[in-house]
Amino acid sequence: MISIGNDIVDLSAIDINRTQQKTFYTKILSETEQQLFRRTTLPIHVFVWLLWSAKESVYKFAKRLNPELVFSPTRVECIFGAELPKFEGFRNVDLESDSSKSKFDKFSDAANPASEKLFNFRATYKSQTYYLQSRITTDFIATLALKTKKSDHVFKGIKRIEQSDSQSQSAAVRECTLKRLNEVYPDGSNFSIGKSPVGYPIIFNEAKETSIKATFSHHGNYVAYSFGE
Amino acid sequence: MTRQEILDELKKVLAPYTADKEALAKVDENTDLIKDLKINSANLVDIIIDAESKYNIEIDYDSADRMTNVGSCIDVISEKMGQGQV
Repeated sequence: MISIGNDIVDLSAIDINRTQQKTFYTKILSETEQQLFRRTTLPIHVFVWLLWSAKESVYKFAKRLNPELVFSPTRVECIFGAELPKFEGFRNVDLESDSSKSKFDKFSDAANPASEKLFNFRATYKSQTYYLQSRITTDFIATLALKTKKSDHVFKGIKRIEQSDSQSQSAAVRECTLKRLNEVYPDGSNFSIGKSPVGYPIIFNEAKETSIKATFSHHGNYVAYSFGE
Repeated sequence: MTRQEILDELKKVLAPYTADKEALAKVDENTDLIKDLKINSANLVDIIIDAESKYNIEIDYDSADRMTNVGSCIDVISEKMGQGQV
C-alpha cells in the first residue's frame, strides 16, 4: 500500500445553519457536486460533510506522496454510482457504552447495522482515481480513502471520547491504534507511533520504521484511525 | 492596514477555532493554523468565511487554498483589500 487517508466529522461539532449557506458549501463542493446534491435525499449538511470527509481523506492520501500539495477541496471530484446516497433516518449509534471493546473497530461488524449507512464511491483528483468508504451515523461521518476497491487489508477504528481538546484527541487515537496494532501483530512487536514532518503518523517497531501506513483523524468528541500494509 | 494591524484582527478571527490561547497569543507570520494553533481542518472554511465578512472581501478558491499559515492569510487579506480599493 503506497498511502492511506481518513477523516472523521463529529456531526454535533458542525454548524448546520452555516453549512446550508451557499458561501460555505460552494467552497467545498464543485459545480458538478452541487448538481449531484439535487439527486440525493440526504440533508444538505450530511451531503456537504460527507463530501468534505472524502476530500480530506483523498488529500491526506495524496499529501503523503507529495508533501508540497495544497488542499483544494473543490478540485477533488466525488463520483457516485447509480446508488446515490439515500437518507433513511439513522438512529443513534451507542458507541459510548462499547468504547472500550473492539466491536466497533471494524466498519463491517458494527453492533447496530440499521443505525448506520455505508457508502462506497469514487473520487478523482489530479487525474488519479481514489476509492472511498464512508460510514454515516446520526453522530458522525467517517471516511477512508484508498487506491484499491478492496479494503480487507485495512484495519479501522472509531472511538468516542469525553474530552474534545486536541491533546486528549491525540492521546486517544494513539492509544486505540497501539492496542489494535498489538492485536493484529501479536508476535511480540514493540510498537510506537511517531509523526512525519508533513504530519502523518509513522509506526515504529522497536526503534525501526515499519511498512505499516497509518492515518489519524479527530474532530470534536470522535477519533478515528486506519492502518494497513 | 499594515500587516501588523491585519495580524491583530486576524487573531480575533482565529480565536473561536483554537483552544490553545497560549499559542494564539504568540502567533507570528510563520504560525501554521493546523500544526501550531491545533485548528481542526474542518474549521478552515469557517475561517475563510469569517475573514471575508470581517474585511468585506471575496476570497477565491486559489487564494483560499493558500491560507494555511498566518503569513499567507495576511498576504491574501491584504491583496484582496487592495483590490477592493481600486
